[in-house]
Amino acid sequence: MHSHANSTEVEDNDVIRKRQRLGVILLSVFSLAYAGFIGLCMFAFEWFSSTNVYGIPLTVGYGVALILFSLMIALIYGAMSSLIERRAAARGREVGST
Amino acid sequence: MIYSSSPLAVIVFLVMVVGTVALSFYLGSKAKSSEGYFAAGGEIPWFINGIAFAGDYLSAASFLGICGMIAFYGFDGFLYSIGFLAGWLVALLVIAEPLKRLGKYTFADALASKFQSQGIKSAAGVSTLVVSLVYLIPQMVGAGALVKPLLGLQYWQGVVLVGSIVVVIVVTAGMVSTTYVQFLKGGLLVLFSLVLTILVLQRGLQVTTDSPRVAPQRITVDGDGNKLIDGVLLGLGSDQRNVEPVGKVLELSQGKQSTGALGPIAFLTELSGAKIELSQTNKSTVNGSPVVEYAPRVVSGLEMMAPGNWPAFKGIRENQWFPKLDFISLMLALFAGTASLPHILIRYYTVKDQASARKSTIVGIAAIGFFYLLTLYIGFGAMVSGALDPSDTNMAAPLLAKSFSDLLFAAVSAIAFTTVLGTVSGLIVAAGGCVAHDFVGGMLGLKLSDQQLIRVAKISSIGIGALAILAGLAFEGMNVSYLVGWAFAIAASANLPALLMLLFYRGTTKQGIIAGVLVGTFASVLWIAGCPEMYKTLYNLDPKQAWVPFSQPGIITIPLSFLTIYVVSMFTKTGSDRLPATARLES
Repeated sequence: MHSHANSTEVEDNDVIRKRQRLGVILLSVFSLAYAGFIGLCMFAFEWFSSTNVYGIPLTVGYGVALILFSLMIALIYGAMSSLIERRAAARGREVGST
Repeated sequence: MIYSSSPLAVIVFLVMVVGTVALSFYLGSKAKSSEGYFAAGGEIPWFINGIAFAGDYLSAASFLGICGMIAFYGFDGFLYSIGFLAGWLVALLVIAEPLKRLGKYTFADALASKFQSQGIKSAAGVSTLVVSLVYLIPQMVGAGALVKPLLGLQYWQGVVLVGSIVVVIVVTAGMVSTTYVQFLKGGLLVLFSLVLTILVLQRGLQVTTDSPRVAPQRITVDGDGNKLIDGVLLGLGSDQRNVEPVGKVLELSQGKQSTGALGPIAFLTELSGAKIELSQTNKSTVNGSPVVEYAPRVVSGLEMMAPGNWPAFKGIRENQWFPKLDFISLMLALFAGTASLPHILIRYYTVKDQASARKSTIVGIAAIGFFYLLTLYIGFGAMVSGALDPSDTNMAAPLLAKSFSDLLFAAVSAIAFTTVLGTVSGLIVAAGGCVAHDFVGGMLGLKLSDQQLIRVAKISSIGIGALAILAGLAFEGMNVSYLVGWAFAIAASANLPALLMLLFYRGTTKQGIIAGVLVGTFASVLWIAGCPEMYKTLYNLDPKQAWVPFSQPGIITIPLSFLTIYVVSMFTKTGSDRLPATARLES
């Protein structure tokens, strides 16, 4: 088989572990919000579809909020992952210089 | 509804299609190696890749299916938007970087890399082929629906046209050209959806001057096979009659006749207080001949902003468990399916490193999320445009564009058509790569040169394209979003449990992964084959005779796949087969 040019990226296991933990925590938070939405659709249908927020039915409001929340979580993950990687790189440079 | 093609629409369509094929030829000629053909050499910039994610993902289901479902059934279509986007967080937060670390060509390579197992490659190859084929069906259905108003062609001609063009693109191109076509297509789709949304808000809501329809429009077939509408020949001629469009505002709140231009929130508020005339399709058989009725259906805007209007989602409002399980099952499949789609997963190999994989996913989420917000306005805008075709929910967005201008209709339809082309190309590249790498190179163990691998992939692409055409013809008339829901369920059952167990459960063995992928794939396919929706739509049988009680398999088959991996791994745990302690992180 053919080897792949960019298949040999080496990364600190500690960085991978921290990023993985962050990913799981953020996914759990989002999953709760998503499950809450499905739960309201199924088990509180009357209330969910008749409640208004600023003149907009809560169903639509919650749905739009979930989409915006997805984007927010993606940005948080991106920023925090970069921070974890930058800190690890700085630590690596410190160790290298001593 | 019978459509006539306009020369403008044909010209815009031809420019888009010829441009797409020319770009594919040009960029495809640059990719000489198999790495260039299958993974674009890992050299695509992350921003381009992110928008290309949107191009890959925003398929016929998103643009045609969701907008159509919102137009006819309101909020139910938006549930798909929410589910489709939610799945991207699974991809970003747990799949993207580990998959990129494995850095190969296909999802099967990634799954097999830790155990060096040809068995895993073969099993994952099977799942990739099955998912790609099932996902291709709604794209072909969407293509067939689109060419009717755009070019005045028959449904089958559209399906064959798309299949043929895509095979030409894939055979002459590869991942570089597919990526740039997806980038352009994704960008144009979001841009034109924004234009449509702005126009919808500018137009606001107006009460129709037509009197409300009382009688249904009734389509019958005479002894010579001609279609009649209310006894008159269906057609565009002077002595013929066409199906009347629906989607009219009958009343606005506080007795208003028109709202004028509205902001995004005011549009939803005004719509929730409106009364709208839509249609309800009833199919029956009289003296052995099919009869289709489009009966007028008056709904309130508020009602359309609640879930459960679409027949398949009616269970939300009922106190029966199976319909509720069907709904949960679909939402679970949408959530878990994105991170398991082969044509999405291969895009992680087209960028250079993990950070690029992460950044491109975030760009993809931003573009896709923005588009899904727009579907709400395009769908609701179509609902009140007075231009809906009651015979085809998939045509709502292009017909909304037509209600503004023929040029916009031509542009939107051509973009929708290239959307289908792009998604189908991506799927066929993924499936062709899977045949070359996972079956010929993996399972059969043949040592092939770069050029031979590419040739195998291209020949496979022709066969897969032909299968897609046949499947597209068989599923005519089904809502494309619903069909895509099945593809997501199969992907989520076959691939996601294996990926997650590989990453998070140390006791996973290669036998466990093989069993999990195969059980997930075949259990979900069998479930779908025996479900009530297939009985009703494809087999024309009584849905009550179906083997299984509801149509969406995810809630059963995803846990079943996890359980299979766990149990088989428990029984096959030996030193050599078990995942090394460090492998979870390294993989």
